[in-house]
Amino acid sequence: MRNLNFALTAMAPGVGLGLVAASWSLSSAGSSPVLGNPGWREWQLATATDAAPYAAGFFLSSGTVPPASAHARSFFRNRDDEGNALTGDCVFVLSGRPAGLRWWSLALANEDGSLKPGHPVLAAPDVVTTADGDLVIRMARRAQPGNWLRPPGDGRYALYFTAGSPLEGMALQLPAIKREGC
Amino acid sequence: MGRVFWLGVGLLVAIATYISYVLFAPPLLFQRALAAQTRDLPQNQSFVLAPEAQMALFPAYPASSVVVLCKYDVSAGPVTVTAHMPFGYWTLTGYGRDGKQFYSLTDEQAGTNSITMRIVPRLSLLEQMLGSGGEGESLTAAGWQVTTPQKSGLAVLWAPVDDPMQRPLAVEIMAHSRCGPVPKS
Repeated sequence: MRNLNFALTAMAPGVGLGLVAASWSLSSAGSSPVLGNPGWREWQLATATDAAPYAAGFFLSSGTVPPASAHARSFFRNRDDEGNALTGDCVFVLSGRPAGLRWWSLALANEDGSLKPGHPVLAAPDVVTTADGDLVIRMARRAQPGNWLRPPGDGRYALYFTAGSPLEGMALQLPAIKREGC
Repeated sequence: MGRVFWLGVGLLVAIATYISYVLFAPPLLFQRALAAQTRDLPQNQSFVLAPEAQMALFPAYPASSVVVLCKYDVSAGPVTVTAHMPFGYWTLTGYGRDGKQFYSLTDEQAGTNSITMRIVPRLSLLEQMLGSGGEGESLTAAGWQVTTPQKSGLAVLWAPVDDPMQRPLAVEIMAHSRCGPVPKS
């Protein structure tokens, strides 16, 4: 009876610890910072990397098909360039020039980078660029002029950027994000 | 000594739980989500995914894009996917039952908007030793041939649409795509 108590006392925290560590690994170990693009993290889905099982596991756990790594790169971030958390009660402006991509999309995701059905998505053909070809998108709860994405609530969220078929040898320049006001 | 032993047991249980969860939980959760979205859809047939199912399984794609799905099963023999795609950017991707990608092709790589891909099961060890055929990806007279690491999985055709008004046309073109067992000769 005493041994049974010891066994349960040892095993229950073991199971809990294993589950917490696994959950953390699936949401963190599959992505890594993007060189030259501070703030952005990339899901390492290429099968040859050590992080790939975790990255694939992250998407599978949320019931979604992992992006095809051979022709798409997936990035996310949940803070602006100054380190402020992206929240629905503030206005954030994303700007940049997604050059060298055949297709791209920008979605609002959960804070951990996971996507759920119904999250707002903007894709390359849907947006209007400036005369110089720059892309400007505002994220805010209230309607904004130009390209606009509406966060689902006042809480924290992340931006999820899919870069489709980047041109060979072209350095990827991901958009910058600034807070415009709260 | 007893405490050290039970601490060791606890650590072993933690490691076993961690490995089991990371390896087995994601494919199981994905299978459940896939089944919920494609319950009524038969295997080895292609179909244009309904917008709700598309948004659930591919939330990074805008609702205006078109996805054709084939739940293939090669246990009874190879399966052929014939893709008819609209002009412009599109992709064809093969996933195993566990959701891991084993093949991918874009319009630029294909060089045409109509292609045929034969999905064949991986050879058994005995067949490999007897040299019964090649593994991996190859071009045959009937089109591309790819080896799936698992007996069943998904073939996904995807095309973004520039203008939502053009979606019905893209759906019409892609609805001509076919997926089915290779007829026995």
